[in-house]
Amino acid sequence: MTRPPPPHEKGAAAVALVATTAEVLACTELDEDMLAPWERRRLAGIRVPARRDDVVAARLLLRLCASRVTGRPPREVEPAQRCPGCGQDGHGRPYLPDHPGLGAAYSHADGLAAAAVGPGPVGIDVEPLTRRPGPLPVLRRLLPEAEVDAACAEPDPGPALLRSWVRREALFKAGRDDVRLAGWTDHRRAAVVALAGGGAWRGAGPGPALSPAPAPPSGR
Amino acid sequence: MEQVVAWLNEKNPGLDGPIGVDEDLIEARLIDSMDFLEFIDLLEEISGSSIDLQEVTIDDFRTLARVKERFLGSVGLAEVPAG
Repeated sequence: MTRPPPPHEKGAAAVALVATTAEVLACTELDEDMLAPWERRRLAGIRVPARRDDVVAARLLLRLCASRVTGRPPREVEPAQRCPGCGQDGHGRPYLPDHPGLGAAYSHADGLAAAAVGPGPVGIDVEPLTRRPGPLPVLRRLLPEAEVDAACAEPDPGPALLRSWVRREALFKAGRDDVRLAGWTDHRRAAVVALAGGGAWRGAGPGPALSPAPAPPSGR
Repeated sequence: MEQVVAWLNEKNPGLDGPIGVDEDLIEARLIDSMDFLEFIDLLEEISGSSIDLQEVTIDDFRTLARVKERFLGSVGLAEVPAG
């Protein structure tokens, strides 16, 4: 495991973590009983057990990210959500009420979880490496034309379209189009990830930090 | 609507019961953001009409009842069984 970060200061780096759901649920720093009652109520509506696990993992990973940025133990982190559309709490964009200068985001998909916390707006998205967005006519209405054209010029457009999609999702979650954006492939976890915003990023280069078994979440 | 239900069941194999017409498809995690791409394409195919993505909100896709009302007409609904 990486060392815990110093207490949050203005200009501190963002922390983004990507892990398999299994890794998160096995992580000894995290426990489902950390989730708040409102989060549990939302979990109760999830019909597919594996997807429930993914959501739990993402919510716990968010706590771990916040812990690494703020220096507070994961159990003391209390993320909230507020919808930018209706303004109501309990759903929508995550945030940390005790740290209004920090942005927070999480993502989950098919056995993967990702989360990010950092200064300013933050967005993150993760998808399995093998997933393919489509159909193309709908995709063209949502993604930048130049990116779709470039992807379609490749022998197999699928991987490029997937990267474009996760970048779009990360920007959407950050709520801004004008923030720093990066994407990478986590080959060990067969995941494509995009991170938007968050100020300076801790860590050098793409890819997860290697760690001893049992495999903790990768760090960036 | 049978095509929509069949598609949802295909996306969620092994569901433990039918999908209620007023069940929140998003909160139940029966569809995710990428699934919306296929969902839109399916609804356009069924309805024969293009969906203006600037004129819809996530709530328009939240339940089978709302999907039918918004995109597929207003014929009365009954709970549909899992495929």
